Amino acid sequence: MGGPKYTERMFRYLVAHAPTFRLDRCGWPHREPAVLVAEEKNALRVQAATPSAQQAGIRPGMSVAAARALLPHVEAELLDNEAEAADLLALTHQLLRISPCIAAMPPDAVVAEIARVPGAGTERALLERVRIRMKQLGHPAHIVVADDPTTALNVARWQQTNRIIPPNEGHLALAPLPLAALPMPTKDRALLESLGILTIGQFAALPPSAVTGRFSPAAVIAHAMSSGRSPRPTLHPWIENGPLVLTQDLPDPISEFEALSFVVGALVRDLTARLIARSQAITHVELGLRLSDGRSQSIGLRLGAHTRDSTAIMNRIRHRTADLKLGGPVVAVTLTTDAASAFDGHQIDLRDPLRKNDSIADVSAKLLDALGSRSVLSARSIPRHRPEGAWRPVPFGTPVPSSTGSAAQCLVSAHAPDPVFAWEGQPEAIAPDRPPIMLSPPEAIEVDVDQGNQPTAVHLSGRWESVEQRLGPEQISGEWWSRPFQRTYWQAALSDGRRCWLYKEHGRWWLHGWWDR
Amino acid sequence: MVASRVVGPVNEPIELVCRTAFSFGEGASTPEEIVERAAELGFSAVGITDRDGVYGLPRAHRAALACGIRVLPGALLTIAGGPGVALLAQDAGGWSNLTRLLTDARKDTPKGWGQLPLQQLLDRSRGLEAILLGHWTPESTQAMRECFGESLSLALTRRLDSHDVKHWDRMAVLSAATQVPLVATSDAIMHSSSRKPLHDVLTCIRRKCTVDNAGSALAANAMRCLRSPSAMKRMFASAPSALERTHEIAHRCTFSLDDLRYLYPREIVPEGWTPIRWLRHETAIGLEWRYPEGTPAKVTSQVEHELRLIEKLNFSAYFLTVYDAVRFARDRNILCQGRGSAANSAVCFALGITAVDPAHSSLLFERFISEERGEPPDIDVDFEHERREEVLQYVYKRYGRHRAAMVNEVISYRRRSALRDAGKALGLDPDQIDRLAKGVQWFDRNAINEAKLTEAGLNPRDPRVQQTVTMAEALKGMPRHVGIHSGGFTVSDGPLIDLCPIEPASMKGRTVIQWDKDDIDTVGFVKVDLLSLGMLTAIRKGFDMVKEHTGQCLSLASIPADDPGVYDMLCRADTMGVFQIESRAQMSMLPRMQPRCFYDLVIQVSIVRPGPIQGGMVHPYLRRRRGEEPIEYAHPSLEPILKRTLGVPIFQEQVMAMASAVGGFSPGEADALRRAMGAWRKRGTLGPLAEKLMAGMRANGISDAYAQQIRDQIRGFGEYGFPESHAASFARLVYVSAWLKHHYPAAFCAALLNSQPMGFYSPRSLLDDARRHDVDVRPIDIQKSHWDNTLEPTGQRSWAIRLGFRQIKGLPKQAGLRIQTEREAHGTFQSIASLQCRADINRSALATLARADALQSLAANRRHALWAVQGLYDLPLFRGLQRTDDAHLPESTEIDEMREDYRSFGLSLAHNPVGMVRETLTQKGFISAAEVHAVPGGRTVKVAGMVAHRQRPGTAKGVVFMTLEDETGLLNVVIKPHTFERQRKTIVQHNLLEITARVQRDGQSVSLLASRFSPLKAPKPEKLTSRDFR
Repeated sequence: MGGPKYTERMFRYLVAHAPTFRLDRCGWPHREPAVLVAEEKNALRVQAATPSAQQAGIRPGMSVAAARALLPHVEAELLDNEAEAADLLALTHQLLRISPCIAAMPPDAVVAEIARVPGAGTERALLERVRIRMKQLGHPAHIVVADDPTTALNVARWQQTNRIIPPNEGHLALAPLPLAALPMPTKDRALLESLGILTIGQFAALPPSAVTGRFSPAAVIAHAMSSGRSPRPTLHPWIENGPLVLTQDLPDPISEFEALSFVVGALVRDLTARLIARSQAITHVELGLRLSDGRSQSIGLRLGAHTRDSTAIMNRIRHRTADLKLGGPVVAVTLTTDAASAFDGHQIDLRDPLRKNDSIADVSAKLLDALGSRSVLSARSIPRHRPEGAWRPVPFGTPVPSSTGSAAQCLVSAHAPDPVFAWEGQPEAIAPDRPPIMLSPPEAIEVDVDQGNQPTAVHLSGRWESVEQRLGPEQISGEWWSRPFQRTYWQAALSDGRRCWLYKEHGRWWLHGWWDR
Repeated sequence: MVASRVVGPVNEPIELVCRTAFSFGEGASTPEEIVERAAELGFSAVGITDRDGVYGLPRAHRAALACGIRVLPGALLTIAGGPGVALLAQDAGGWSNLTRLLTDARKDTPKGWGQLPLQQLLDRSRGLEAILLGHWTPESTQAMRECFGESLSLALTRRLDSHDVKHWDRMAVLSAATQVPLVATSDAIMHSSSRKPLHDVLTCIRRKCTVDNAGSALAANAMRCLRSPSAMKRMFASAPSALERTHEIAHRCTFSLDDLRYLYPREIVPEGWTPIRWLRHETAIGLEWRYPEGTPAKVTSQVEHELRLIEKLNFSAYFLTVYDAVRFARDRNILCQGRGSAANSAVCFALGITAVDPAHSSLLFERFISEERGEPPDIDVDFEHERREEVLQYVYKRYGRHRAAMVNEVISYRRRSALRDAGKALGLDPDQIDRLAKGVQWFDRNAINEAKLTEAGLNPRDPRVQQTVTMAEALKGMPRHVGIHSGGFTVSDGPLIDLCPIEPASMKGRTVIQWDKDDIDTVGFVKVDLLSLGMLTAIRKGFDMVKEHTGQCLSLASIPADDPGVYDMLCRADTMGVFQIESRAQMSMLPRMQPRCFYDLVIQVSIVRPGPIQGGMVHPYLRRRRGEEPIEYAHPSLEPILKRTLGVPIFQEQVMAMASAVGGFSPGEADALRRAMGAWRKRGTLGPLAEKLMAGMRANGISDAYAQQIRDQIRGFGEYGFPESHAASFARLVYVSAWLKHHYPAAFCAALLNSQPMGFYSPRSLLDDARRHDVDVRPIDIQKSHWDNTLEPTGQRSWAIRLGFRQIKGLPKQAGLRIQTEREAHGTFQSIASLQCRADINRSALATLARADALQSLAANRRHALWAVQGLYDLPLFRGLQRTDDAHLPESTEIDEMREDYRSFGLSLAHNPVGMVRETLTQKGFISAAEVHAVPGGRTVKVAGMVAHRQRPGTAKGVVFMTLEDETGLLNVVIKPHTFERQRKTIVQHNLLEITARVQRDGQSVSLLASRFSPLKAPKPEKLTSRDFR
């Protein structure tokens, strides 16, 4: 059984369908009842289920509540589309050795064109290799070889078998499958079912001329597929879309960085041109210098934000190399980028306080270089009454969400037509007066009060400071659904000129912050 | 009782601005809670100022009367493009201005909103006290000052939040600049700070967010609650004049809802006539019409007696109003029937308001209109449900929109809606909330337990789930929104708009007042109920069919009385489709009751109700009726009251009369008892009235056990009780519908189908019942069917039902009517293409017809018909052209046919899912519904069928009743609570069931006591639904 002899114009596709890939990649063993869920039609719905969950009757498309009604302790994991796509891509990488013409078939399959792989062996051998490889990778799969990927995938998915479909026999393999295996609008499928046509084979038996006009264009395409006339995509050899590496050998060694900067500048311009061509931007670049004695010297540069602006990159390089001592004459210069990401093409929002002054980005980039990204943060305010929860730290430069995000979303809907809103004005839109220096956690403090329970003196650093002026009380309470609190705050101007923020809760006083003098 | 107009000592502040739960989604306390708390805190008066409405004022007024404090009526008005103003009525003129302003504010705004241009407010400032809230500009404030003068104030609030200091500074500056004085207020939205969580939840519901992401949209603290006068003094210590101002304002506002002067319209009487003379005149004409052979002496004297009482109580205009609406309906051939306390009078019979002939009944007028009670009579008129709107629009036109309006209905949170909204606010998954709400809607009247939560996919130990349940309980009973009363109309002599704001209802063409039916009682408005009843539509359509096919003209009054055949049918409980007595409970009662006369029907419709059931009156009545126990009276004075019901109290009026006769109640107290019955459900107690009743009965030598029974019965009436007057009117419709079913079963069934949705049974059950009565049911046919179901003669006096296009799901009515019209005009259709062209029907509608097998005369079978339809060109230019290519389509099986039938019209004439597996069932020892009737009681049987209904009535102590249907008939299945709880999932989730059960017999009544359920393995139709009830 040597398999078919390939001709010049012949295509053969191998599809590996891993039915449990989506949950395997999340680490759910098959015996655990677990489902992958995503929001669809106003409810969290099952996207995939472990075999154990499927045994309890849980099926894709079912709501989580319905699944839990069948199996109360079923675990639900929220689908992370990006991570899943990345993992499928990684899985695809692993099969590159089978064929360079390979692609992911989201969400749980990989396809390879195998007719043009020199020395790949027979289709049977190839199928077996892929089956074993998939199993080794922890994703048992059904492998089908056919003339077109759609047929192969459908047979793998619906018949759950390993199979080689001989050339020109795809339609025979598809014939027993249900109509649901074909991509077709529900309306067309219902119509076909009313006509008694329940399998792909029955559908294929309809004359093409009879299908055209009676059904939607999508059903006409599905009919072509049912007859083994699926589109056969051209899978190009895999091109890695990794970091860019640009090198310039120097005709003569250069010992001064000032002189070297012209070469570096030219490389940066090349780099940005290529980034533009790839619609990408970078946040990090590494400058490598090969010295005449064979040693290397490298300098890593953070760019603050995604960019492909040659001037900005060059400015960063100049700043970073201002005090650089070259280890010797340089014979070659290399620029290496990090994994470039797609350039979103957004115009800088001049109203954005973080962007209105470029120097902020510049300073932050320097700080990031010096301290690392984990140490440079900015505060984002949150419309919340609990003072210590009314902001959160975000990595510096994280863009402010425009219209998505829970808090923003809430405000959008809150400002939607609301009779009360017109009444009360927009109290929540006016930021309350809060001290710029907040103590976290607040410090327990001794406070003297008068008969009206108002603070008259506070005990700080071992001595009593009298309260010269006070503002309050301000009562803040809430969050009864999670961590209830109820506090009475005072702003107190102390005799030493400082102004502090105090509160009383459960009979105890706490110091919560300071204003600048 | 009129409340005192004194507002307490000058140095005691008064809370002038309070929002109740009728500021929807905002106020977290009911008007009663606000008023009761205000009284408790020592306020002598409290201002009720809901946002853009006065919905809660009558309730606050009632509470205030009980607490002995004053309510200052007012409202908060939203100014277009700006902040708001609290308006309090100083006098009747001010109130009139306020109601007109609110009417204008609601006129062109979306439902739930109000908004008014400032200029309109300035034009109607007289008699109003204005308190400015929110951010007013100096210019607008000045403009207000020029109009309101001394009656304008600036609200000074103290919320102890981060804006307080700025607010005080701003108000001080504005006051100084405009010379408008400040007035202190808490601007309360809850009666106690403990309501803060509920207020947060309401805020989230209103703003469509969750507590987690609401952030600062929630109030920063719980300070916006009612605070005591002493607390107010402390908080506004630095602004004593603002506190004094509260007293000044309250002193000026002397208006009370007691001051409203409502007058009934007078112009329904022709020039030169007084209402009573005109009523006498019309009654006399009516008697000639009713009794062409001459009015019986008994009726003449009864009419005279009633007219004298009507004149004495000045109710003639009211009777004439109802008569006017009924006459309009009669002129347009709209069937109607009156019911209610005065409807079964001889006068109403003469005027055509009711069809209950006083010559054939002995209902006492005094029982329905009480001179001592002195309250307006109650006449509800039911009209055909499909044509009631015509009558409503007539009333609007007759009196004008400024004098006539429908009555509002406050929709309060129930468990299901409370769970949904609280769940959303607390961020539960919408699907889980949906399942939980649906799960508890029907079966779970008690607290939600862990099992129910687990079943809904929720973790019962999750604090968030527990909070949802707690908040849902807190929400329950709070007003959610206002709707429109089912038929309550109020009309007035002068402009109604001066008495209460009128607003457009959601339903086009209707306007409503802001008060509901209880509220208008408080303010003395008179209401006429113009209701809709599906059975009247069915009866009229039945009459029309009988006339078309036999020439016999029938009317509610002309149906021959006391037909023994009809009563025989009722005794057999053969009542599917018959008005009021078609339910499982009624059907099980009929063989035991054995009704033989009209009054038996009056009792029949009343006895299967929570009142008599909870009072334990059903079995004593049946035993006495069968002569198994002597007819005795607990006290001699009860004999005249209870004689007609064999010594057992069954009607609401009897309980009231008993309270007077042996409970020592005055007529006023008996009336209070009647009201308390209605409020039982809300309050859960009859209060001192119950104790007084028990003591009175004890003093009259009535045993404690009997007195206890009466008390339980009153509680039952609170759930749902039937006055005799209603029962008598309904009994008439029971008899008429039963008569139609007995004599014209085909017409009766077709009429019911043509009046859907209505009644207890699905079209599938109704048609199966008709076929069991030897009525041939013919399929929908493009060449013969009409839009409606019609009759086709099959013999001298027998007819078959031809199913109409209306039975096909998804077929547009216009398409069905066009087919009918075209066929009647130009004859039958020769091909599907000619049908498309002649009737101008698109391919989608034709496919619907093909799937329903309505094109059988034009194609070999429904699949070929559908194939042919799909081959038509749909573009107008190519209409009638058809693709001729053929295809080999698989032959359909019986199961395919049955499934297509159910998909198309929810039933199958040719195939019954249970019948299809009968052979297998028989082999496994299952018997049919028809066979069960021959099985002796006590024996265990196995049956299978489709679930027609599930029901868990409140009076059944957790027992679930199920109606099971197979190809031979219906079965009543009784499920004990423990059986139900054990097998809940199977019972609730499957509509095709196998049941093991024990046969129970009580006379001719047969039921099954179920012990085991399992899903029936039979071909399941795609859409097989049951009708489930509480």
